[in-house]
Amino acid sequence: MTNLDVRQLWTGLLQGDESLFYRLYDTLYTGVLAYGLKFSPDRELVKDAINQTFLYLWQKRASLPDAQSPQAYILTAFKRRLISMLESRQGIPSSSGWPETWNEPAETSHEQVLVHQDDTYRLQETVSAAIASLPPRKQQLIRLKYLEGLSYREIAVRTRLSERTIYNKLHEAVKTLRTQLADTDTPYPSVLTAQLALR
Amino acid sequence: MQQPVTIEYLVSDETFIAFCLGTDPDAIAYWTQKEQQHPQHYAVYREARELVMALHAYSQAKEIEEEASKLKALLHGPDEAVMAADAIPDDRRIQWRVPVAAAIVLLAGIYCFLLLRRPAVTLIMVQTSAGETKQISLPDGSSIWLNAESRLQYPKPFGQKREVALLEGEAYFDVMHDAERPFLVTTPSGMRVLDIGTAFNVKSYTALEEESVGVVTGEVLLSHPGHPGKSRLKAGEGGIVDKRSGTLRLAHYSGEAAGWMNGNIVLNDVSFRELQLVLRNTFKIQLLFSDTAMADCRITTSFRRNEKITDILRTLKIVYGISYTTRGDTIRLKGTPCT
Repeated sequence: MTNLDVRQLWTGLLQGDESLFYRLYDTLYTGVLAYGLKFSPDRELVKDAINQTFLYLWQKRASLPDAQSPQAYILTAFKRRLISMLESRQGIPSSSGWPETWNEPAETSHEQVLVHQDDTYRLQETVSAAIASLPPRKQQLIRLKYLEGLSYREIAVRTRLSERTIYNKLHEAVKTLRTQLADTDTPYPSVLTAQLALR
Repeated sequence: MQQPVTIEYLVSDETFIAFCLGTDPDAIAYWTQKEQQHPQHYAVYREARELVMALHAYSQAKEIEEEASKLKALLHGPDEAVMAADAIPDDRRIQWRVPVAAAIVLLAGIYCFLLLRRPAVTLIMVQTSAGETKQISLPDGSSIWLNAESRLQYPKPFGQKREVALLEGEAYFDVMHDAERPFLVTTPSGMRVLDIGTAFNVKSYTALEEESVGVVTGEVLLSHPGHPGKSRLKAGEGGIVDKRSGTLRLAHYSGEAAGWMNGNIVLNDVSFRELQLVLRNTFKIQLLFSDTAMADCRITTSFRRNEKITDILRTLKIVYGISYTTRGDTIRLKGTPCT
């Protein structure tokens, strides 16, 4: 998604168009999340901060600036909120300054942070349908492993399953997935190759 | 003994996943080397990578969906209960933060429950690489052909409107007419092409200054934010939008120009810049101009996708009097085709 598109969505927000507002959210979500996770590994907290930030944007839409780079504006608002949430949780008064680890993560530019979100929606319908038909438990493991990128050990702690069980379950899930994909009669043999190739 | 490399094994391997997600430099170094050492397993590695990324993308889309419905719940809750706290907290606010949080969680729960009962909408993105075209059959019976190096997106299922966003490149639409549910194609510059039972071609390349639509059969309604009103285009007619100024001009459109779907590439009075783009997308060949002014010269030519590039260039040499030098996949053009 180019900058122009984000600006169009931002204009939509300023005009109070709710559906464009959600599109702005969908578009920037991944980038903002990745940015937030550099400050805190607590995914739930970061997700909460994102929603609070967007709720704020929506409520203040009448007084928001016509920003040249909405991404930068949103990231700044998000960062302030996340830090204040981290602070209030840890009971650190704002005058004490940030711990070292809260410094701006190195090599972070707004453009960079939001660039890779472009790949987010590159889902093929066949693949997503096949995954959707897996049992919820396996889907949860898939999320922990392939989205949050946790190690088997970390997942074991989180789910109280043994590492071996988790490994086996994921292995089974992948097998099922491949069988289903092979059964699907799609006109394109390279149905998977479409958008998911690594850059 | 080395373990046989299967896709299932790779996709559930800790370090392979880290390699695909780009989270661990050691894993990246290890698997990059592995792949290079075993080119005979390329297909296996590739499919495994794609599966990991598919699993990642699916989970990502799911998470966004869930979070968006939470946000929706926040937006539509009673104002006083969910007013977003200002970014910098003060002491008074902290005191009633707990009940507010509880109210938010409760509301979110109720709304999620309501939302989940509706069918989920997934955004489908389809993309082609250089030298590749794709046909997409939509559930409503319409078909889309996507040209090389192009990208489009549409929701599944369609809502009241059947709306497809052409994000990059060129696509040909053969639409099943449904007066109840209009079919709309949008482009990044804001062009809107509304079908009235039609086959039409839409083009929007970042590298080109113009976007265009051409009608092959039937009619479309064309509109653009930079242009008042709507233009009704019939078969054989086209519209060209200047992306910068937003101006719209109507032009003749030859159905031949949509022949790319069958491998016939017809360039009708286009810039050399567009030729450059087409050669890159179709043949993965980089065309260079010895004189930059050449990019704006106009050209009319046609060729087949399976034709040899040297034959295409020979034709250009005869018709436009240009010469060329080839080095690998790069071709440098010389001459004054404008005159």
